[in-house]
Amino acid sequence: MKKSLFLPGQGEATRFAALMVISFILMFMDLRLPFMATVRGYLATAVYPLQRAVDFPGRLISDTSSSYQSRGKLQSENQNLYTENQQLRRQLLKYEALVAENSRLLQLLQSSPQADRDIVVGRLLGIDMTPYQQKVTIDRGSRNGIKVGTPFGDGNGMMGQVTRVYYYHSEGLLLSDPTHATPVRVLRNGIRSVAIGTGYTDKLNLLYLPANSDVVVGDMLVTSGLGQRFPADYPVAKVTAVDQSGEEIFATVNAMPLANLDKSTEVLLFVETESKRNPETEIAPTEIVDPATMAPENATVTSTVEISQSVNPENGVSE
Amino acid sequence: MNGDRKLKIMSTTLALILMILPLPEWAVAYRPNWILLVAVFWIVYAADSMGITVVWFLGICLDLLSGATLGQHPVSLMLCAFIIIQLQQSFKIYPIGQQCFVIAFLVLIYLAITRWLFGDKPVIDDWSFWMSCLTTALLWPWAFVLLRELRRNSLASDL
Repeated sequence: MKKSLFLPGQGEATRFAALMVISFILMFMDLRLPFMATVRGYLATAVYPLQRAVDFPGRLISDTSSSYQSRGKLQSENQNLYTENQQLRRQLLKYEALVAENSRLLQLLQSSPQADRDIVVGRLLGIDMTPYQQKVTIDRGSRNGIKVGTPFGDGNGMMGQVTRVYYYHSEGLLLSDPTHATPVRVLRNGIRSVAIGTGYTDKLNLLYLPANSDVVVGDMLVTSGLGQRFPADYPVAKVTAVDQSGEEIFATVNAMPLANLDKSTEVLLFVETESKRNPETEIAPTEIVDPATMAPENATVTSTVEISQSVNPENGVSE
Repeated sequence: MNGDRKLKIMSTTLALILMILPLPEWAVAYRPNWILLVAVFWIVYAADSMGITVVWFLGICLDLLSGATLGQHPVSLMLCAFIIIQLQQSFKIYPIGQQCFVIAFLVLIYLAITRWLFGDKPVIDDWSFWMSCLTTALLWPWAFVLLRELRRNSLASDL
């Protein structure tokens, strides 16, 4: 009986039709019903060993090549890393001071500092880059604290965000996917825009920039932090072409992502640390308050009503 | 587990792995449709063991591995398998060139369905659409000879 399930013959056409219908129903369910994400999670974890197997040859090659390297090459590499480390440490000295100053200034403005993010290093296990979708598989999952929406990048800039999370691994959408939009701003003057993917890893389109806006080739684009997905001020892309011929209302601006979307094999995942996130203060608008009228933290309720109402309506409603 | 069965599982697993192996961007367009190659071989030369159900299962695995909507790959893969099941007897006696041509036709159908269901722009003008057909068709003679020899060995060792 069991063997007849796989026998071709008169039953084949019926079986074909039945499985075809099942596939279409599955597609519908997968796209529509939220509980399918859980089902999918279990199934995907079951095939995860295959995903690891894909990574195995590459890892083997890099492991063997790193254990059989010439002494001279290692020495020069070591020297390079040493000088780079020195430079980075020098920059870091200034960075500490800047962070302290920044958080002091933000306190003066009664604005919450940005939530801190831990960095988790992951490897790309799979890449699916056809012009209609640009997806990657990363070998870090919910057990490493990854969530849906966790942004990731490489050393040069942002690469994309996580769209599905499983226990051992996760799937990410690249910036260049045609369905992906990244809120950005021009670093030089703060003009905001949305960078939308084109399906090609070396090209993003900037939307809604008026024809007379001040954008030139070479401008750096950083994340604006609007939309609450990407942390603010991480580099994204560099403007490569600007067309302001004036026939359209909006300028046509192209940009090239700074991250190596098609070459990186290691990614940095910016995982939000749980403790510092406070949704109330994050949603509150940043009001510019004159320092003179600003009350110290332990002041009486009556004097802070005005400020706290504008900053945080939850606590401010006393009357 | 007999050798024939082992070979079947190993070849399909390898095909699945090759389907999701990360490639540089320029090479993605040339990725042969490994799973189709292997499925066609087993359907034509070991029809009693590779039916439409197994093909469906392979498609589901591919969906899970590539993060596609569940059911996307089974639809196109099963349609190709169904065509080859119908052609099965005559396909065996086709000259190799004609076999390649049929394979290319199957890949075209496969890609057309996938993109018709899930793409949002016209793709016939896209090179990857045609390159994958070409590489898969060119690989068929080699895959066929390799699998046939491996299968002969495994069958011989079973005796």
